[in-house]
Amino acid sequence: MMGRSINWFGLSAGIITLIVLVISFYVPWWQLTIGQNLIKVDASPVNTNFGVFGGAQFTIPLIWALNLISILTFTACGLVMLVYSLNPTKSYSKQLLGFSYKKPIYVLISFVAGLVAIVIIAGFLGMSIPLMGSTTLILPAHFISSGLSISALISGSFQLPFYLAIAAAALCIAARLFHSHIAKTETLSPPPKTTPAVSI
Amino acid sequence: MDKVKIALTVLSILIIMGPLVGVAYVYRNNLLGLVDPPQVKSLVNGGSSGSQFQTPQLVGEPQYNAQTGAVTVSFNFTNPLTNNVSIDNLSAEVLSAESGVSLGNISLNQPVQIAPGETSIINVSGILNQNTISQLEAQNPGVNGINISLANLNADVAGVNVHMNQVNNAGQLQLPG
Repeated sequence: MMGRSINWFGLSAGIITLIVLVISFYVPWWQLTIGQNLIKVDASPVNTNFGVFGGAQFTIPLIWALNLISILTFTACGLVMLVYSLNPTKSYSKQLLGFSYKKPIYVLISFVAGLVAIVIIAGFLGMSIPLMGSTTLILPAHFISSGLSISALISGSFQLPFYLAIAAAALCIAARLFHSHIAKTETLSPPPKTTPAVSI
Repeated sequence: MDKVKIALTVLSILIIMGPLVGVAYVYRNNLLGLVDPPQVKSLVNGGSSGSQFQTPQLVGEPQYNAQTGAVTVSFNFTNPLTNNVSIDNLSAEVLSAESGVSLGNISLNQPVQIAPGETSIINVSGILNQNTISQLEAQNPGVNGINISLANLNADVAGVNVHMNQVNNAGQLQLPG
């Protein structure tokens, strides 16, 4: 009796993708703080919000919609990856894998690209925003009156869900590569033996 | 399986288009609201508590003890925020307003915490150079006091450092008659 084929990389990717989704509701992927939490940005593809001057946190409707797209994407990819991983040799498995393995990578790349774009745009405005670590943000002179200068400590840091998302993306790629191995093994394995008819 | 492929393609389209169409429908009468929520408008228009944020303001006359040279300058600060604000540093150089001669430095003795919505008087003190003050007195006999200004005022409010090159009309040091 042959054991059931399971794509363990896919199974791990599916589980971690769903874990990333849940954790991201509570912990941002990247956090930016200015001063003593005067301005705080919690950014993740799942839940992005802004806190300004200690007031209630708010989000931007378009970003909220993009966050919802990421939530649905992560949910669908995680579940489809799990279904695929438990049935990697079925005729439809390649379609399931093709659907689920790319999207966490796309979300991760889009998120990092978005952050880099923000940092570049801020740079054009004369403000330095660190992706990781701390620096002193000096408000450009054209924003304030002469004889006055304003600066603040600004800190940016990636949080645990970001690193878990990288792990999930890496496992998705591994699952895709391992699928080729499973498919090859499946092709090479002999057809199951048929029991000869017994005549009495 | 074509059916699986079609189903997954439809799912992908729904996942992407659903939220975008939904939020566009909700904001159909105000598409700018998609990227410009009321909180941002309030911040830009000065309606938020943060925009009422002001650097500490001078209040009253400086208290000067001619015997010891000790001086105390008082600042008034209102915390418009909904969380505690810490003033970790407040320092300046005291100058004679007329001659621009440096009389000494003043600084905050210890950090001050201000609760949300509260106004506090922050006393910043230091010891002035009595020889310089005596020289100014000798140059201007009969004057009751020395008008002062502040230079290089540095304030660290809630982690934000504010530097002002000059604060004119910081009051008058009363000299003993």
